[in-house]
Amino acid sequence: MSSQEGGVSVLVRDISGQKRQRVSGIPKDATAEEFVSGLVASLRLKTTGSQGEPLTYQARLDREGRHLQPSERLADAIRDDDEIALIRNVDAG
Amino acid sequence: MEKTEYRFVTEILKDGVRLHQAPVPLHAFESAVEWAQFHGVRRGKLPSFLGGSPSTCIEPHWDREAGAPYVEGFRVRVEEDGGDALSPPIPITYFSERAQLLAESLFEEGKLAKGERFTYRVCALAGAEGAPQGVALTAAMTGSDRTSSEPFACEDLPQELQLAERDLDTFLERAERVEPEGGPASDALPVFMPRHLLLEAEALKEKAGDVETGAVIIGHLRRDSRRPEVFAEVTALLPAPYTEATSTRVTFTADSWQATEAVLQLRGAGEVMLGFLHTHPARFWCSKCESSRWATCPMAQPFFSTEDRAFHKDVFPRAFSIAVVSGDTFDAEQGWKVFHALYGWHEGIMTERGYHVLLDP
Repeated sequence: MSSQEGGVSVLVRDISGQKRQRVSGIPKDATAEEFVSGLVASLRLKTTGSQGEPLTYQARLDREGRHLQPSERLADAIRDDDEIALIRNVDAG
Repeated sequence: MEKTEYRFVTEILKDGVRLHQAPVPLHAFESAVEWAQFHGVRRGKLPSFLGGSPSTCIEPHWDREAGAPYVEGFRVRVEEDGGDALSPPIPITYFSERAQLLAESLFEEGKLAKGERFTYRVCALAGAEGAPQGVALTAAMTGSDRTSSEPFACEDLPQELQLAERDLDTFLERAERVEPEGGPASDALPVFMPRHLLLEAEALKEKAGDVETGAVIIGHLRRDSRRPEVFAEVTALLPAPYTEATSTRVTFTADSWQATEAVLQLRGAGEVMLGFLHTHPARFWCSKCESSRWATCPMAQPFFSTEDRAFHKDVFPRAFSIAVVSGDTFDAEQGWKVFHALYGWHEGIMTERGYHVLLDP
């Protein structure tokens, strides 16, 4: 996946909806898995939990009310200005 | 954009001798800036937005005894279109968690023995190297200084707070104040929790038995412009479905969040997620210990674990967010009973603080 100026631009929000980011430069030929991995890096999100376990994020496409499947091509799934919720499991102790 | 000309450094000392020093990273001020921005909104000095990369400036608050460059805290100046505000002083304890992390690295390097006492202090050094700290601070918080490992451009969008006008006095008149032991954090966001929701939390805890359980706290932010003040009105607890729980942990899964959001939309009342509640079934944790130890067991007192703090910081980073722990505590005369402790952001730090219980009409 390479960053492309003029790629897709979407709104990404966190689990609680408290924070929103405009994310742009997303290449249409990327898969959803590459997209999520790029989001985690670009938003500087945690990649491991408190016990060192890897954290898995899911992207939910609001317009269709469904999670993006890892192998899905973005060109077939998302449009400019779509809203995406980035979700993961969270532990309280 | 901003103009702080100071670089903050944390120093770890043993017996008054400096062992180690490390610059305070720019992102470490993020919670303070968030709190300062919200404080400005509460006082009517800033427009009703949070985030959105306001122009910020970190100003040292010099230590009254040691003088510069040592600080006893700092203040945050926030400037936006439509207003500017200078926060109250944020104490040096803001850096305590960071100092503890630095000390742990010294334990690993053998420079400090386990259990050995250390102290810390923070300096603000004039003439920051490179870009002024404030400029970099704004950049770091927006991701606009992205690196090659960050493939997408990200822009933090401001969140407009929906602040319907309400008379704070009418809430105070029908509420009882609950204070944590050790006194309340002064000037904290007033939070109103209906009594029946505390009973619901207790029932939720009882139903879960010997495992933890959780709920999402929803409600509204209100404004009383005459004071001026913003306050939170909790309207419901949404028991989190699809959680995975053990005796000492509850996991809010991706399905939990999705279902909660669906319920919020179905309610259609314009409520927002204010925070989360989880339970501490200490009567089960303590069941294997002698009953004489129950009344003083720290596990049977209100506490907010490191994991809880990480949860709150990750999911509810906004300065108005709250967390409630509903747990067991033991009283020699009354036996086991349930407490409800409220935690929230204050001066950029998560701390236990008071709240108001709204009496049933």
